[in-house]
Amino acid sequence: MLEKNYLWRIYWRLAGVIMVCVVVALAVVSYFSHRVFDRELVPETEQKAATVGASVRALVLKATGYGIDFAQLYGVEQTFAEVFEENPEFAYMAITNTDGNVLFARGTEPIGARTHFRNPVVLQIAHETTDLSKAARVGQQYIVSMPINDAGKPLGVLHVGIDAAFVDHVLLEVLLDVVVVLVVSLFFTLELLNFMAGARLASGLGEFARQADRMRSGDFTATARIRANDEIGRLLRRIDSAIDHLNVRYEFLVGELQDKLRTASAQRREDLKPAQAALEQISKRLRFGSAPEAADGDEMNLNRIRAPLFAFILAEELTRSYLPTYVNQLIVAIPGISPQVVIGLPIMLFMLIVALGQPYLGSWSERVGRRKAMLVGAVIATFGFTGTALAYNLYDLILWRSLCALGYAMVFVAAQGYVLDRTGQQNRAQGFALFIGAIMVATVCGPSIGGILADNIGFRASFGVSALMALASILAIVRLPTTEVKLAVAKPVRGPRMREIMALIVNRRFMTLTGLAAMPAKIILTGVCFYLVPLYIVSIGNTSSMAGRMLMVYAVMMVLIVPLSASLSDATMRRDRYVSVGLIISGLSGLLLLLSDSFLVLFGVVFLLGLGQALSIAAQSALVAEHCQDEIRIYGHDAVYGVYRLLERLGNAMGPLIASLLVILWGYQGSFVALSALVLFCGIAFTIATHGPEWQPAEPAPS
Amino acid sequence: MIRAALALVIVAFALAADGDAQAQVQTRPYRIYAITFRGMTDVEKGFQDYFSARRIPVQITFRDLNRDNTRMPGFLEEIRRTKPDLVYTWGTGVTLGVAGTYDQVDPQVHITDIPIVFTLVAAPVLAKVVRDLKNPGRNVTGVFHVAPTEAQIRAMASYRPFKSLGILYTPTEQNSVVVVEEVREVSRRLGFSVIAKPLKLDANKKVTSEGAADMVRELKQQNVEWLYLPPDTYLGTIAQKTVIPAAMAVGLPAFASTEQLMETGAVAGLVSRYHSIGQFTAYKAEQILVNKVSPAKIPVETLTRFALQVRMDIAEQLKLPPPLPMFNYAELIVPKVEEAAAPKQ
Repeated sequence: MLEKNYLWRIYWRLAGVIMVCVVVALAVVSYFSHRVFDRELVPETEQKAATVGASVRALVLKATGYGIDFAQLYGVEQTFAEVFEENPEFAYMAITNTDGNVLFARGTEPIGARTHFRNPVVLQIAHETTDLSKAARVGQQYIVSMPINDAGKPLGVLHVGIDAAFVDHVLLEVLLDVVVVLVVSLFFTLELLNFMAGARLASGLGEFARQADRMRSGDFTATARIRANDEIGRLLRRIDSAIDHLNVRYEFLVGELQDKLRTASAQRREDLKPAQAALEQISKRLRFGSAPEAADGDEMNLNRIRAPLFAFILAEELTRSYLPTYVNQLIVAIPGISPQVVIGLPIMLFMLIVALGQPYLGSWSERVGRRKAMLVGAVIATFGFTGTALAYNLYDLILWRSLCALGYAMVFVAAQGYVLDRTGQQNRAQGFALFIGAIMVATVCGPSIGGILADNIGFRASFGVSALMALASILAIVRLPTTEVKLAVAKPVRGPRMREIMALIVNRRFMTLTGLAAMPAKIILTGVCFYLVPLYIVSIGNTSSMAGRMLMVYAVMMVLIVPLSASLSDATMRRDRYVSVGLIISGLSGLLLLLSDSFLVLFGVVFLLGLGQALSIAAQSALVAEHCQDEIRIYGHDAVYGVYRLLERLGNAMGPLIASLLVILWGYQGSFVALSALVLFCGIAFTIATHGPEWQPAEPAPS
Repeated sequence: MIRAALALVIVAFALAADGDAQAQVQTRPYRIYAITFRGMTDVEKGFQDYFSARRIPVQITFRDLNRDNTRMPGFLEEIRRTKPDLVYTWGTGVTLGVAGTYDQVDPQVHITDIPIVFTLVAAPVLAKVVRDLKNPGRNVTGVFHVAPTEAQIRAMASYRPFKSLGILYTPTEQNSVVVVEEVREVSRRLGFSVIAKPLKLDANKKVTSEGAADMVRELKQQNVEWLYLPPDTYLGTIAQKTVIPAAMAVGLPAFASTEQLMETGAVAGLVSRYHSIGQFTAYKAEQILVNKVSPAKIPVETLTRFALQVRMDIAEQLKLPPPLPMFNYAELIVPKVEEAAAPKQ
């Protein structure tokens, strides 16, 4: 998209200005809401401390009411402990007598507490008969003090300590959420801009650039194109009419010369020779007439795929950070299968349906038309998301998720086919960059926003939002051109046959690539990102937002590094090295959990995982073409790649299953470590297996 | 023609309606033969209150053993003669006397053809009254009143944690022996020690209170931290006069397993109210009499809610106030001065 074109530069400047405005606006809103929150949070927590303290005080007064001596109360620390369990923000509780000496206490005593308790102002509190509470900052805590007063008789003072770190922690969480919303809003703005203007601008500018190039190279053939009715289109139409005009003049000139040559005498012909020569010169340099049928596909409408694809993939990505937790809520005990595995079932089924459906849905979408296929898929997925939001228990959840999977597979394959239809050899890479780009932006935005949504409006409503996004994608799909483009050279794509699958599975070269590299990469991806991270984060008491942030880190790594590694590995041609290094880095990721218990280590895990995956993923599929020449010759390019993709996606499905089994054996942390160790082993095995001379980069055969 | 048909319909309706009403308002009340061990308790009161609240006409014949098992054959003979609709038995001893254990029924002695409802049997399965609580499988069903032993132990520990527990019990009472075994089993699991002292028997193998106070003092010397009072009838009779004063004198808190024992002066107990037990027993009886369900199919149950009772006056005397959280959920009893003087039977 980033052509160094004058008009493009203007577009980007415009887009930049709009984005800067959005950023500034969001930053201002964030700053002010942060201020307000900061101002309101501490008093709110103090209020809560006062309320909780009041109920403890009532209990104490009840006990003394039965005649128990205040200083002889028993089990007060137990009550404090119960309060701490319910309210993790309280760090300290104490009861002091009228002299300010601590009678009962529990928790971490802040520095300076003892002196604070003996402060005359604090001592005076004991004599208050009303429900007042006084707050003060003591050391690292805010202490809220309340009187324990038995109808005028002062008994002592109850103190509740709020950990200042807790308050800071809450503020930090809010800040992180705001940052996430900021980043996602930026991406959204970009996508929206592209949708509204960029697509047409891109196609318009592209056409204009091509027309200018054609003219520069001397091609003044008249094209029979229909131009869009925008500024660029009108400009192009004027160019078209100028070209037509030129063509007419040329024709006239040629005709006139030929006429004159026919009717001329020999002498005349000699005189006309310079004219003839000049005309020949012109016809060598320039071309006139009618243009041949454009074989370059339909770039005008190529960009249109980005918006619906983005919206649709986003709908699915929203669910990543909380789907396993939701499944856990709806779980129904299936005899014989551990609940840990049952949680992974919907994810596995989703991946399986996508894996098995893709080969066959390709030809189906070709038959019914890409746009129709995408519409059907998006509608099915909308039903799927709505059903998921309303799911009753595990069984119908599985049904709805299967619908989502079917819709997802349909849309994905149809969109891929759309891009394939409308791109030729030259711009195919660009077309797919657009395709992958939309998906990647969705993976950056989706999980993080999804996590925030889930924490704030609940799981079911968040699935409702996904359904709305799917609906929005339908509206964008409807705007796709209804005329299908069929390239004459395209062979009908079909799914791999069982015979081919079996033959390739036992092929050593193929399985080295697929079984030791592609499948482990996918296994650790889905196992960690789709299953372990959301469940583990929630199991240690953290929020879905945190899980969403971690998945966002992974997606950002992919967005940043994949283009880099793709071009690097293409340039150096040592693709297998990239795959090896990528696998080994992915394999090391989970081992970080051996170093530390803190969940912050998980950020390091997803960082390394993202890095490793990004390094290997771009090079992996190209390796198949590089090293399985014989197989491609025997079975054909489509079949080999079909089986490769099928097995790769089966790896997607196996990820949650393997992860869940490892959790049963060794718990969450053990599962991270074991899964990474497995991939590390595969990575090392792959490196060793590809060390031989037969793996040196071969001459790329014409495919 | 139509009028005749209509009349026929009305008459048929009337007859049917009348039959219906007849089912609801029995002209003949149900006859229940009730055998008690030590006279009328709150259980019997609850039993009767249930029927009157539900307007079920019953005619209850009360017979009291007055702790003398030799009267049983006479009652059994009377049952055979009068053929009541239901037999009500109070406690394990009476129940076994009427029904026998499930594996040793003697049709000559025991009642096998009339439904039997028991109450206040502490451990029906261990006492071999029924094989399985959910499916009694014989003509006997009923209600047991004691909270699960482990729940009682945990309640005791929540009042004051302990490492050593003392029990006094009557070795000739089946209930008690069974309960002591259960406590030992819980002690193995939860990790505390149990010292159980059986009350002494005289020459006729009858239990006496001789030396009970000494036993309490010995338990204290052996460093027990709680005295557990199992649902033991004889113990209940000597608790207030002998056992509790001895315990109070050495500062040993007692934990009661029944309401009756609470009243003798235990500091705390996890109990069900006898009145509610009686009502629940009457509910079982209603299943048999009115709903015509076979006792073999009626599960033996207990109330699901137990009250954690705390005697505040005893707590004050022992200087062992209940822990603060307990003030939220325990039933705190402050007996009025006049009531404390008259012991409940």
